[in-house]
Amino acid sequence: MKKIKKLLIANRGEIAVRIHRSAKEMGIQTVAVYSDPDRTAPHVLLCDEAYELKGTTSTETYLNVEKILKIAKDAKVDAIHPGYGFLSEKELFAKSVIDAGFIFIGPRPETIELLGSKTSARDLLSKKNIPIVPGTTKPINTLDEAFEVASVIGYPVLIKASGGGGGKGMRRVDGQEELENAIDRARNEALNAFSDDRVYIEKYIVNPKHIEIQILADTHGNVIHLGERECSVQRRHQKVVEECPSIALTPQLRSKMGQAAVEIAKAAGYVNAGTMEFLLDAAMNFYFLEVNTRVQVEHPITEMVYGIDIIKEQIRIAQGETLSLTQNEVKMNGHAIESRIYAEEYDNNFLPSMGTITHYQPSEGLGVRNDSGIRVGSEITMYYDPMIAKLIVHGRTRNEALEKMKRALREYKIHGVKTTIPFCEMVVFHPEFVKGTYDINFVAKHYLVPDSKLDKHESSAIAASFVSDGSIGPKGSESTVCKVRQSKWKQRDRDE
Amino acid sequence: MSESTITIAEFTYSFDENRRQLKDAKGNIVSADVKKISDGEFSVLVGGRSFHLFVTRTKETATATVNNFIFEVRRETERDKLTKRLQVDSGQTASTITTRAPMPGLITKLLKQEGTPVAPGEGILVVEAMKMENEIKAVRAGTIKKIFVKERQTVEKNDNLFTIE
Repeated sequence: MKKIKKLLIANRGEIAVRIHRSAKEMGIQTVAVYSDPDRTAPHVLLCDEAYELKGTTSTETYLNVEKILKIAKDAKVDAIHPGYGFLSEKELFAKSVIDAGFIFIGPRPETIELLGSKTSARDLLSKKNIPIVPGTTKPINTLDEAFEVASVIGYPVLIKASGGGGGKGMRRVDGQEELENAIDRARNEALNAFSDDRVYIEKYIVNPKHIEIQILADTHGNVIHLGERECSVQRRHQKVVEECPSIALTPQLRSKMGQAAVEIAKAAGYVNAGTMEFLLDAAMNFYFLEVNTRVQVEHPITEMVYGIDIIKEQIRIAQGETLSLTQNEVKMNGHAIESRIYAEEYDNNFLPSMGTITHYQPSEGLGVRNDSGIRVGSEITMYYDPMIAKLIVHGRTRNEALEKMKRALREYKIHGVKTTIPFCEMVVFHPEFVKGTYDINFVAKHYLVPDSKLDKHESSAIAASFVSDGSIGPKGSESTVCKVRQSKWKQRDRDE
Repeated sequence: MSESTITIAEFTYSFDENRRQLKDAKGNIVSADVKKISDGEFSVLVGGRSFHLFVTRTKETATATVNNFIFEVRRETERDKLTKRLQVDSGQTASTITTRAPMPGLITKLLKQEGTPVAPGEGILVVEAMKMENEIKAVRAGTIKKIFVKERQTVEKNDNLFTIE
């Protein structure tokens, strides 16, 4: 067992801050790395040491293995935590880290390779008793092959990137005529995002819920699961609002799916924290989707309900310790919900919204947690992921958590970019979300928000602040007429 | 003394040169207590209700954030007035439509060439920002008169992309 004394965090934003916090609480010194635009980012301000990666793009900086390893050597760290995204699921990075003599906080490189390529993961599990979504177990090589596979499993199909997640490189195809274009687009996106243009085809399961199981596995062969997270609220195949537990799971189903996740981990020789993703159809059949061999963005809701710090568990496992609890000691407590705050135009198809954060005051209070990577003055640029913070609430019941989320979203103050907060409000107020019966088509079906129609007092307040600020006013003797563009949600036409 | 007007959604207000005495459309004084908290941050009490507002100014627009909804106010320029008058005079809308970049990004692919006839919803080019590819589509039927950008070129928000005639 090797005690980690100094840790390099090979990431940025909220997850770098998140990892720093747990490491500090374990008495570990933290080392940040940063790109040029991130010189004054929160993770740089918080960590004990910080070193520049020189450059702006991800490729020049947070994806640059050579620079990161050089800093790790110079700073004499014992271990590297990759966070999520960037290098977290690159087996070559994990291998280089280990070869250079550091501890990699994550699964073994060979496990990342086996499970990170979704096709080999499917291949492995098709031999076990784990149900998988019908589709290819190997990447598609030719267009002819794609046409054949798609017609055998039947449309609609889903084109997915072998090398990554987060909705990048993913396309739904409803018919043969769309296939070629969709594959081209998916390959391009996958190449840009993961430097790997391999794609595969899967059957598109209609109206499922997205349910994932958190697992922890130590180096001594112990594997436990920490129940599920429901992440069905997605736009462009990216999660926006998640909850733990899911209203759909009975204790029996939870135990069955949890057991399946543990079996997958054991079959793959998995070590460290991981997430097994499943689709759950209306008849409560579940299908294995993929394994995320890293800490998930939405891990805090599990932490709130199970009272376990997943980052600390990752570090302990990497130090060679046994898990701090057994499956029988895993206890649920209450309900948690997470809203991801993206810098995106909530009223314009979620296009990226760039700018400088001029005001920032996140919500506070009992049961409210804000995991954030921004501060006043932060520049939101086109170079990195638009997710800037996560708002997490925990209540004794689902209803209490819901009411808390409604309150906390309304209280959250951020100015300088548009964010998905109004969208998240739409979600938590929506009757179908409140009932818990939503599925992954929630956004497509209900892409409509209680519109931001102004009443008399609201418009007076805006007018008064504009006039007082001198934003709008007379220019010489010429009068000024101004119009407000109403932030209304577009209602999508649906054929259903 | 000249009065200026400001229209917020369906509500119109007027105010004098000294920026005092905001009046509603009926000429009644709106009593709003505005306190500046920090640059661009205000507490406004109006009609017994409390609002925490943020205001940002650019050259021609101002935005207010209220409960995380953003409202944009644009100063009407002489050119706007002229355009409006011309449109009214000729009694028809412009025969060409220029589509502008909805966000800053990189042009990764041109899907169509100048002179090509297009149907509404047909993809013209692809802009990539924050690792997502966004297909920019024709807003109406017509012929592509001009494409202003090349592949691998970066664009700013509102840069001209293409014109359909």
